[in-house]
Parts: sequence; C-alpha cells; structure tokens
Amino acid sequence: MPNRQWWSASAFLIGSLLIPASLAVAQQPTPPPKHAVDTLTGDLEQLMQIEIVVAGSKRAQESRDVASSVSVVSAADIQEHGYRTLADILRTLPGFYVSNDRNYSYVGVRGFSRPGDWNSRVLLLLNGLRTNENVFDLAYVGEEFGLDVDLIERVEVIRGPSSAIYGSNAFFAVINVVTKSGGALGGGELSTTAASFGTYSGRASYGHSFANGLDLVASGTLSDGKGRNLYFPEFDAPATNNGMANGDDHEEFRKLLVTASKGNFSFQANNVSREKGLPTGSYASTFNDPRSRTTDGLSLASLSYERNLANSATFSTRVHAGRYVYDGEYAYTAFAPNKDFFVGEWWGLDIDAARRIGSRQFLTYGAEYRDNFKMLQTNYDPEPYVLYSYAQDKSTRWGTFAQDEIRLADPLMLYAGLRVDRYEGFGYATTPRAALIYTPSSTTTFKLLAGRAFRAPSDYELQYNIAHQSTVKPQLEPEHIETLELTAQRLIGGGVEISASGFRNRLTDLLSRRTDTTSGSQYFGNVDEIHSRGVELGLNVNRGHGLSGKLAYSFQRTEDRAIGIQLSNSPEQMVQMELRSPILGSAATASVDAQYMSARTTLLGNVAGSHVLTNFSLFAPRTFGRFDLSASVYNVFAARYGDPVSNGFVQDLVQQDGRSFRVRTTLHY
Amino acid sequence: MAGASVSGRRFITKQFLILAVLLFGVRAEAQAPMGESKVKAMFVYNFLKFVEWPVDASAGPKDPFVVLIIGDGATADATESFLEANMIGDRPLVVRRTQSDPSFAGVRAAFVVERDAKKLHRILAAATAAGVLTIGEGDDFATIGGVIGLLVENRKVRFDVDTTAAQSAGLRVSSKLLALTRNVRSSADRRGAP
Repeated sequence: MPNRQWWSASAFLIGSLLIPASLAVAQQPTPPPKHAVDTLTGDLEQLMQIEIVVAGSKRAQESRDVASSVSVVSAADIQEHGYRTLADILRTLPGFYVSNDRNYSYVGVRGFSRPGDWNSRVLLLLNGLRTNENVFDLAYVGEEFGLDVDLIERVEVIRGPSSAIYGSNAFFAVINVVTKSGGALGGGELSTTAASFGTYSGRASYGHSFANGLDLVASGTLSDGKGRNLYFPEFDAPATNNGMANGDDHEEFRKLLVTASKGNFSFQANNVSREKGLPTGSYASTFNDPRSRTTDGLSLASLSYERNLANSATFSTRVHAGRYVYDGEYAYTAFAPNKDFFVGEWWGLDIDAARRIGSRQFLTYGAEYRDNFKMLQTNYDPEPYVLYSYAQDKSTRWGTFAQDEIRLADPLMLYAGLRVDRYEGFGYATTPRAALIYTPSSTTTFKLLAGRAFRAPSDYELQYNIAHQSTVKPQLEPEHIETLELTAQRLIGGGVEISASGFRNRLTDLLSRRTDTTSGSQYFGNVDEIHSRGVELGLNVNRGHGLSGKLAYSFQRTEDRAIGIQLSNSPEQMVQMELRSPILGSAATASVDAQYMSARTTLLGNVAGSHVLTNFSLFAPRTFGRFDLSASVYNVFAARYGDPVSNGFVQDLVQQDGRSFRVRTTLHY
Repeated sequence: MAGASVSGRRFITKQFLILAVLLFGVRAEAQAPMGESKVKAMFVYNFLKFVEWPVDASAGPKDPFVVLIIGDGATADATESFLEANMIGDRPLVVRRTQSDPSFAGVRAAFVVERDAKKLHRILAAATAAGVLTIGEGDDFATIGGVIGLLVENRKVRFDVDTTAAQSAGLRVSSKLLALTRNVRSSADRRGAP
C-alpha cells in the first residue's frame, strides 16, 4: 500500500525531528540566575525562581495545599491532539490504559482492567456531579460518555482510592470533567467533522457571559458512523458469512448540554443517547445480524448553591437527579429476538462545607443522600412476548465524611479523612485515608498516601444472582482496596518537571463472575483477591510557549492471589509519549502522542501481543479569523493489535481499528 | 493501616534529613533576593498577558488598558509604579487608584487590598459582574471569589487561581499560567483532594 509507506515515512520524519529537540530541552541545565531581572518585565518562570525578602511584619504562611497530584488535561491538549473521546484522553495518562470490545471502552488503572465491569471501579464526575448510574454503577468513557469532549475545559484525574471523600466507586481513580463556561465559549460555534468509516458529525454550541452575571452554555452534537466491515476468524464458516460482519459496527449518538450560573446558583443538565451495532456476535447472538444493537441513554440534571462565608469558610449544596436507560436488542437465528431493558432513576442531595480551624487546620466535611427510586432490569422476547426476568428494586444510601488538613510543620502537611456510608442491604462501610505531604522546597514535593476504598455491589450484581438459575446465591458484600503510595515530584527549572511514584494495591473480596458447577449457570461472588505493585516515572517539559512534551514509563505487576499469575488484560509495562510544537510561525500546532503497551494475557490465557499506538494531529486555530481547522491520523503506523474482552464474547481478543483519519472545521461566530 | 503510617513516618524522617542537606545546595545557587512588593508587581503585570478578556468591539488595538488599584500597601504602590512604566502589546497601561466604592467602568483588571471581609466580598462580586480580573494577596484570595491570589511560600512568590471565579467574570486563564499555578481551584474540586 503506497499510502502506508507515505504515512510511515512522514511520521518517522516528524518523530525524528521532534524527539531530539525534546531531549535537548530536557537536558538543558537550569537557566542561570537572571540578575538583570528587575530591569526587565520578567518571564513568569524566572519570576518564580526569585527569592524574596519577607517583610518583618508578614504573617506566617498558611499554605493549605501543595501542588496537587491530580493529572490535568486541558482544552488545548484536547484540541491540539485531536482527542475524540474521554478514552483517548485517559490512555495518555501515566498508569492508565483503555481497551475496547467494539461496544464499550474500559479504563484500566495501574494494571487492573476487567472488561465487563463497565468501569464501575472508577468514579466519573461531570463538574463534580457523579455520573455513574444506579443499575451497573457504570462510567462511560467512549462516545457513550454524555459530553462532547470539545466542550471540556479540563479533565482532572486523581489516582488512588478516594472513597474517604467520594464514597463507592472511587476505587482506582476519580475523574472529574469540567465543562467550558459561556464566557470561555464567548459566542457561537458550529463544528463539522468527517472521519474514517463513514463517520460524520456536527456540533452547534452557544455560550455567553451576560452583563447581569448570567453565564449560559447550550450545545448539541449529532453523529452518524457507518463503521467498518470487520473480519472475525472465530466465525470463519460459510454459515456465518465467512467471519465477515458487514455494516454491523455502526454508531450513532446525540449529546446535549445546558449549563447556567448566576450569583451563587448554578444549573447543569446533559443527555446522551447512543446506539451501537454489535459486530461481534456477543452474548451468543447471531453473528452478522444487523438487528443486534444496544442503545445507552443517560440524563443528568443538578442545581447547586455555593456560598463563601467569612474567614474562608464555604458552604455548598446540590440537588440532582438522573435517568439511565439501557436497551439491548439481540437477534438469534434459532429463537425470537431477545431484549434487555434496564432503567435506573434517582435523585440525591449533597452538602459540603469547609472551614479553617485555628491557624493550622482546614476542615472539609459533608454529607450525601441518594434515593434510587427506580432500578428496573427486565429481559424478554418482544415477539412473541415471553418474559424471562423482571426485577424492580429501590434503595437509599447516605454517606458522611470529614477531611482535616493539618500543617504539622512549615513544610509538612497531614491530610486525614474518614467517610462512613450506609447502604440498604449490607449496612455500613467505613473508609479512611491519610496523606503526608512534605515540601522541602518550592520545587520538590514528597507525598505518602495510604487509604482504603470500597465498591458496593451494583444492583445488577445483586439481582443477577436472584434472576439466574444458579444454586449458589451468596450474600454480596462490598469489595475493598487498600493502597499505599509514595510520590516524589521535582521542578528542575526551565519548565521541566520529573516525578516518580511507587504504589501497592491490595484488592480483597473482589466481586467476580463464577460458574456454578452443579447448574452450569453463572453467579457473582466476593471471591477474588488481587495484589498489585508498580512504579511510574514521568518527565514533563513545558516551556510555556514552543515545544512541550511528556514522557511516562510505568511498570506494574498485578497478581491473582488464588493462582499466583499476572491478571488478564494487565500490561506489565507501558510507555506514553506526547509532543507538541508550534509550526508555521505559531499559526498551527503539530502534535504526536504514542502509547506502548506490553503483552497482556486474555481470559483464556492467550496472549494479546504488545503494540504501539501512534496518533498525529495538526491544529490551526482561528484561521481567517474565525475557523479552527483540525486534521488527525490515528494509529498512524496501522499497528495491528487486539484487546482482551469479557466472557460474553466468543472471541478472546477483539481486533482494534487500523489507521483512521479525522478532519474538522469549527466556525466561531 | 496503622503499620503503614508508622513505617511512613520513619521514612519521612530520614528523607527530611537527606533533603535538609540537599536544600543547602539548592539555596546556594538561589538568586539575589528582591523586595517582595516589587516581585509581586511583576507577577501582576505578567498575569495581564496570560488572561483573555471577551472581545470588546468598542476597544481599539491601541486604547489604554485600565487597571484599578483598590486600597493601600507596599504591593499596591509597587504595582502602580511598575504598571505605569509598561505596556500591554501596543496598549499603554493606565492605573487608577481608589480607596473604596470602586467603579469598574472601563476597567480590565483590579488589584484589591481590603481587610474587611464583607467589603471584600462586595468588591469581588461587583468586579466579577463587571468582567474584571481580580488579583490580591493571601492564600485565601483565590478561594473567596478572587481570581488570582499571590502569596509567599518558602520565600518565593507563588499564586493560586480560581478558574470558576475567572469563568464567572468571563475570563479565560491561559493554560500556560495554570501550569505554573500552585493551586488551581474551582467549585468542582472544592473538596481539595491531595
């Protein structure tokens, strides 16, 4: 294929130009002291190096926080790298990886990813509002996520257990997606996109910050993708179209967002509905039957009130409601089509407050109440109508937490937090967390974190055991994780930062699917124990303007204690790289990101080989004053690789996309 | 968990000793000390370059850029003299000073010194409504409605940014500035996880 050679050659050329340049930046010593700085206006980075004479009467510093360990991805990163989904964003973060089964994307964190848990071990927030729904507790990160990523102001990712603050699901990480304000949008945007595999999408957005203080955003996105024709060797037989799934990989979605804030009040509402064809013949459905598809819908709305009180105390409260609908249609040759229809509805109230205690402590505390007033799970054949299972459940839960930040000594902070949750059904869950943060100088930080987190069994897991014919019906309990982590960060100067961290996770009573040996049917039980440990090393170069880049290496060993071997879908090593440079006299930006993943084992013990995924993007903002132009090539080198999938599939590995393209024009008006 | 924190403390103590030694090395190559107010004034000037205001059709490319200084103090004085000696691109900087009841008409940015919490709250609310970038001092400033708070940590000037306050004022803080920020705060991360 001549095309392929051309791309390989040009990507190699760009890579070879950018990489030595970045190394040169990294190796550059700290800039010499600029004594002349007070005669100049000063560059911010230089200014930050200046030591000052503290005036005699200056009160003692009460630094409340040190540089946070949160990874942040900005709107500029998303635009310039051409990230299409939250999954694209997450796979670039140290210790994170993503796999896909051609229906949903699954986030792996620090060597743990279980396709088929629908990301219930990660808490996903939208402007601080929990998006994990109440049937599966799932978090969507692919196109099924409820927000067009072009509306993201930034994504904050907090690694490690955070149940001591956020409760259930804050198991491996908390991901908070912050949307752009009306002021940031500053008018209207019309965006059109064309991408490989017959994908066309459009977005219309309007945002404005009015003189009376009202900030408003309204946005809608529509997308239609035909998808690829795919070959699956597992189905290579004349009866199953010789393994070809033609026209079954289609994906259509619509996304809506409205945010409004004025004074102390803010409102947000969003909705997503995504339909995805099933090319894989998953869950024993007929292979290559165009009728098989899933539709996922999630709607969230919240109203918040936030107030700043005297003496840096704050108070905020939020009332929210959500609705989740999953509609799965599975076609069968020998039987009537079968349907999954799940609905979750809930409302909740959160209260948070913070205040200073004396001069050395800062206390954050709060409470949450959630009423899951509808959790419906049905499975039936629509025509002729046969009902196989029907479960309708309700539950309430509440949690209360407090976290104290105590300055033990000038460079030493202690965070101590505790949360108690009460769940109908299994009672209380108590989760502590402690962190010591030591900042010997303004450029160096050490953190020691220890914490525990839990995930309550989802309604799906609870009802599954009742609905299926298994004779084993264990009482399900929350699963737990205990983490110990040590992190060091140092800003070398010249915008170069290095970081290293080591962690140890112990997962106990992990909820897993097992097969009942007497009836042959499946059930959930608190059965697995998993230990994992690893290190992450990072190098960030941010020169403020010009070339910037990131390089991360992670090594992790994640072991199933019962059998003493590496967990499936767990790469031992990963390398992630991002480089970005202005081109054409800063009129545009060229970006490369690449992720290497070492081999993973599959559920059946086969091997998913190592691979490097390389993406390349060009982005030109405000061309002719009002057009943003973007062009991206994903999987530039057409690396062939497959991701391990859950046991709902005949396949053990599902092949991922080869090289694909996307072009986008955004008009600002 | 108890065992974990005990061994952790021991480790930290050892690190403390090692780093105390390293620290002297770092100190040795530190730069010549400068007055706090002067350095802060230079930060204020630089912030103006890293914030985007909504496009004002009535303002010409060479119209003056108006900064209001509310209140007194060494930093306020240094900021006034430093800004008056500089320009933003082609735009001359014009500094106005006031003690209280400020009018924000035509003002792009304000350096605020106000010790009375209620008055400060009123000033910040009015500035936000008027789309004014507020800069102040202290580690509280960027948590009580101010956009950028300057502070001193380990004898170096640092700053916090409240992106929610910025957004409320219709301002866009450049990611380059955020990258150098000690704490980026917003209503979403109110829980301040470490």
